[in-house]
Amino acid sequence: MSSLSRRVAIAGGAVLLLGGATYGISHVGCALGERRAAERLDRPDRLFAMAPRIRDIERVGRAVLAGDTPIAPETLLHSLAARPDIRAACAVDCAPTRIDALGATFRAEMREGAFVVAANWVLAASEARIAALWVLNRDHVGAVNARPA
Amino acid sequence: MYDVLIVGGGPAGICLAVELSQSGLRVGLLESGGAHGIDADTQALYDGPVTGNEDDLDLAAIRLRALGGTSLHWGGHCAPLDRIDFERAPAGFSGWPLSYDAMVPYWERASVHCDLGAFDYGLDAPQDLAREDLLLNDSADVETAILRQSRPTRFDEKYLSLLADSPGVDLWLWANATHVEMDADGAVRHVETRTLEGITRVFEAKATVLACGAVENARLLMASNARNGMTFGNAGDLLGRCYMDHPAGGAGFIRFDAPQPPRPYWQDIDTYAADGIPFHFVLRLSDAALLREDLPNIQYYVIPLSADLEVRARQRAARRSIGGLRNVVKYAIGRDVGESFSLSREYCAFITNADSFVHDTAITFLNGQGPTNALLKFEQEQRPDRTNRVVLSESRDALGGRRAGVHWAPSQDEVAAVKRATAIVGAAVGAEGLGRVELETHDADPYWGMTTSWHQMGTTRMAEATTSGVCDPQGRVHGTDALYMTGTSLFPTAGRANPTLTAVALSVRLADHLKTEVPRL
Repeated sequence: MSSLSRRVAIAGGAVLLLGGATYGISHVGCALGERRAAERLDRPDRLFAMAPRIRDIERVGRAVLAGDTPIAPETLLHSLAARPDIRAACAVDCAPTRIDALGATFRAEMREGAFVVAANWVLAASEARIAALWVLNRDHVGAVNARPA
Repeated sequence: MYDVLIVGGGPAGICLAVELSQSGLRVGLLESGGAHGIDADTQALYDGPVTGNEDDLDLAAIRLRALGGTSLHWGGHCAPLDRIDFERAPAGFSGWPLSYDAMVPYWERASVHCDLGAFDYGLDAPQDLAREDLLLNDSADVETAILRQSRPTRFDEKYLSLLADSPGVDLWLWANATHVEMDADGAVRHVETRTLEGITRVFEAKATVLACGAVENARLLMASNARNGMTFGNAGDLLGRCYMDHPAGGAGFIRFDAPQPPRPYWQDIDTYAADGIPFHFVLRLSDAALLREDLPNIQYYVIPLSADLEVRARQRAARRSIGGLRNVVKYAIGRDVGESFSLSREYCAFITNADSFVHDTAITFLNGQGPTNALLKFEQEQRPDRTNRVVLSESRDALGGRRAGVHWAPSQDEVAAVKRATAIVGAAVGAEGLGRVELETHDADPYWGMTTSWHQMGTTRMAEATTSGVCDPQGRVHGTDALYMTGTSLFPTAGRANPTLTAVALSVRLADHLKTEVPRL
């Protein structure tokens, strides 16, 4: 009985170690990728990983676009690329890690007072811009391929 | 002749009489109605026209003409004003001529009158409250505030026998004050009253205090001035003006990212002070945010929404069960359980709701059920506005007097302020990772869904300068010898808090003043 318990404990520990190691290695890998491309908004389309989490995204996006005289995709991309944490998030290959990073950015923006009201939703400024970008991309396929200067 | 004549037997008038009852001064307390509820004919004296809103504001409903006054329909939520309410003045008007610290001793004594336990509104006051129970950690912009729940005190029930037995106080019921007769030099000659049956009396006193609420205080002084050909208190054309309420309504919804566990903000969650006083939790903007944004004060009730009434009922029963058990345990280990504790009631609440508790706990554990939406219901400070006012209307009451008319219109600035303040709360919700706030949309409605809170304030605002207010900082009508006002009519600004505690505190403060001042008259 005691040896069975020991075996179970050892096996359990091994599973935990393996799981932890897998998570840790993946995390380090993602972080390295993030650092490598932190200086540019390489793949803006990757921001759309957040789309399912932005409430009422189409109404929000259209409200942002209607807020000023026509907003070009470049303008939105410029604004987004101005934030190092957004650039870093875009460079992350791992979608869940990217989503976590963007979520943290939104929370930080809210804390800093960088929030907007669009279509009656109170949103982080970058969140609203991503919604607008998503709408532009949907209306004009490929619109977000334009790269910020 | 009385030393002090008090006109109005509501919370402010009764508490003033109680405070003076042991002073050696001879006090007369005049009440328009009776001592046992509302008389329809007397209540009808309060009818009057209302303009400026479509809120069905009814002057004969928001005020009560009987001993106990508006405490007869009072909800009992209490909080003092905030420091910022004393530290800033609205554009174009003076602010409070007192400091927050000067008011504290009077709020403490008013808390006894209002059955509120200790004067402690810190977040340490609630028993067994863990910081993680709060929706938001206090941030630079948004914080949690607590309100204490009065029983609610019905001041007629609480003090009728004390007043009746007090040799220093005469209580006159069915005595409708029609006007204050005054000399040109500001001396009060007498107050005239008339019953609905036509019996007229005059009452003389060294000092006279109007304690009839914000509408009637202004109406009585305006009617008296008109009769006497005087303009007491009106050097700044402010008599009756700057009528304020707390506009209230739905400001928006919190759409939570995850089902929420029970929070102390939910109205059916009971959280108590060590002395057994129940609390309510609200969100408010910090003083720093109010100053930075130049916003009026505001507070939000957070009301969880569930489409499933059965779930809500089960959750309520479950909380009643665990609340009963908690109170029984507290009683068993000798903790303070408050005056109203009943062992059999609490034990039975635990037993009869135990099945709901087990059911709800199991479902919560298995499914994570809890509200994912909550309404943010606001109560906003209304800034003084000369156009919101009490006037003498052309219609006459059964005693022949001109009825009060009220013009009250929440402004578009107030709508914009609610939206901005709610967006700031929304940012705090987002920063905390709780979810997002969706603002309520009532733009098609001219008043943005705002309703009155039945809090009548202003109209005889107090100020140092005769041109900035109707009364001086003691409550004496500018230009008179000894005609005073007390209660909510004195408020120069409204703050966010239910006004009753401060109204009573001003009466306590006036009582101290009269105890020293009247013997000199």
